[in-house]
Amino acid sequence: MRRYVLVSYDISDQKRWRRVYKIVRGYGMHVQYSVFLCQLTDQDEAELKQLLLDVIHQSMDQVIFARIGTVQAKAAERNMSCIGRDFVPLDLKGLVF
Amino acid sequence: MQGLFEKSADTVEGSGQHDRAERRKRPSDVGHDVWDIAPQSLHLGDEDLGIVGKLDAIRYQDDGYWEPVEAKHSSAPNGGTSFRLGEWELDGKAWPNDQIQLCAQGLLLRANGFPTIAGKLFYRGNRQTVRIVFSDDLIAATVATIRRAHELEQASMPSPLLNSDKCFRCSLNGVCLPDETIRLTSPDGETVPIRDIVPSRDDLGTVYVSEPGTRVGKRGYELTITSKDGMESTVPLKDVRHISLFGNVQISTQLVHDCMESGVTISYLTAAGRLVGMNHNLISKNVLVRREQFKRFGDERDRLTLARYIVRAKILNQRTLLRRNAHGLDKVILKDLLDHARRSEEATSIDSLLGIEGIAAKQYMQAFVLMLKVKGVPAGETLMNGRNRRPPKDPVNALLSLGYSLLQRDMYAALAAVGLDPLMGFYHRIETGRPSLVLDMMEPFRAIIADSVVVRTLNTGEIAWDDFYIGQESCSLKLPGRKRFFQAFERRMHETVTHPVFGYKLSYRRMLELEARFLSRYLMGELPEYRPIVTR
Repeated sequence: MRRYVLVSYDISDQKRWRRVYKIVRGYGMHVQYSVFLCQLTDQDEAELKQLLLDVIHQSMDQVIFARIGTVQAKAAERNMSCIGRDFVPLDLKGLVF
Repeated sequence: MQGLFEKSADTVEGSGQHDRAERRKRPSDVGHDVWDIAPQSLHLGDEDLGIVGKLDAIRYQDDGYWEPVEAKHSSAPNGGTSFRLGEWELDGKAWPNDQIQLCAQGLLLRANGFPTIAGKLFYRGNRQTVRIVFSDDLIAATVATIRRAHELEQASMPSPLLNSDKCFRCSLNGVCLPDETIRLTSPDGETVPIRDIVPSRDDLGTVYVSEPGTRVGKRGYELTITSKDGMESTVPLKDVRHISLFGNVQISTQLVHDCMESGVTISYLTAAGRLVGMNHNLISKNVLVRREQFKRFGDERDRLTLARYIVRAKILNQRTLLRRNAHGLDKVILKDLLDHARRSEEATSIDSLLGIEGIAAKQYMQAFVLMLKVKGVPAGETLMNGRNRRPPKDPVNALLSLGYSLLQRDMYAALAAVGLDPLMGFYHRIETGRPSLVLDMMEPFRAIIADSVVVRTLNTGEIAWDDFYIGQESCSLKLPGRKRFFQAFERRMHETVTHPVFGYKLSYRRMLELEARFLSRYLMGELPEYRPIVTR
């Protein structure tokens, strides 16, 4: 079961920040600076954490994982609201290019 | 068992911790003066014991002994009473299986000339370190366990656990299918409750690329799709299950490598939608299944039994679609189809099955047009006149052909993932370059997946008459219409239905996977029979 996870980070070093940004991009949608909306299974979340653990500095950097709800229940729309520019979560049923 | 392995959140975390523990070791630590300081990680093996092992860490003690150290994710037991294992008594401060693993490491060390009398277990759960002395009982238990493991290695697949809570966290549950297998194999199977162990859909996305001149590649952990005018879209690679390329589309080798490693299949289709070929990783991994497949399909009786069920399921599913959607349908047709289905069960040869299937298909295709309510058909044009192909001559046939190609692609991927040979079938004649098994296995799904998408897209007006090129002798779908059809097909594959036998909900794409798995289990002799799905 996949759930929405809001991933945000604060990285104190440019080089590490770059690497963290690249990793998290592969796991979700870039919503704002240092904020990503990801659709993760338990396994994806574990993988992402393992990848980040290899990069970040244990005492100087921070990555927050906030679980928002299951993807099926349209939790992103219900549990999150935004004003200003709108955002649309990725729909895996419509990857037609 | 059989070298099968699936990842789960727990295994990912575990191997991540191992990797990091291993990388912390500096080259200099191991390079010089190796035997003065303890190495961080060690591969050892011994012929007499018949085992090899990877020791996370060993430590040198002042008293001249070496101690293996093993880290565990869980918590240590409270240590009050000792454990009884068969005739042996083991220390109560650590779980018996952990002690045995540690002791096996100790025996390996001894066999390789390192004196050792005890080892340490570190439980991450409650951050406790437990020292275990290798007692005579523990050594006897370990030797017995190693012997038992060798016996199991030679044995066939064990039957699944009954009603065990362990199934929920086991990473192999999607392969083992514990409750489903028990229901299908035990004599009073009907009464076995089915728990929702395997998620109803772990469906990932299928990427369709059909715009000519588009390039597909990767950057980091992302899939990038760059169109001719330089516009770029990205999709996380972890969300992709399959990539379909239509016509003149480029794909990078780096991406192909990544896909093959993670089990993502790639299909190549012509711009018109004919399946040309597939990329999948080396399917020889589960070669035992293929060996059985070739054996079983050489047996006339096995082939006929399977073919009967396939044809029966196909006809019944066609009947269901008509019953649900056709307006003003002559009831005789429904009765006829039911008769054909019954006769197919008693068919004595593949040839007579082909005859029955042909008659049923003809009746079904003639009634197909009754399910359609298309507006805007110009006067004098035909919407559909029976089934025709190569090339399709009317819009409905064009859509059916495209739908069947997509279904063929999905079935191919499902069969190849299980380790079956897609070209060796039991019902369709075996010809070079023809994926017979794929054609066999997709028969029951033609109506419930492809035909139903065609009916729906036409009836809702999602695809209209203007979306087609109508030629003298052929008919094809324009690009914008094709994209909408792909989307409709994907929606159908993600839709969930109640499984008629097991009673839980699952998506159509998972259903294909489940069928492929059951066929392979039947071929391996683990299930008494294989019956394809029949919807109500």
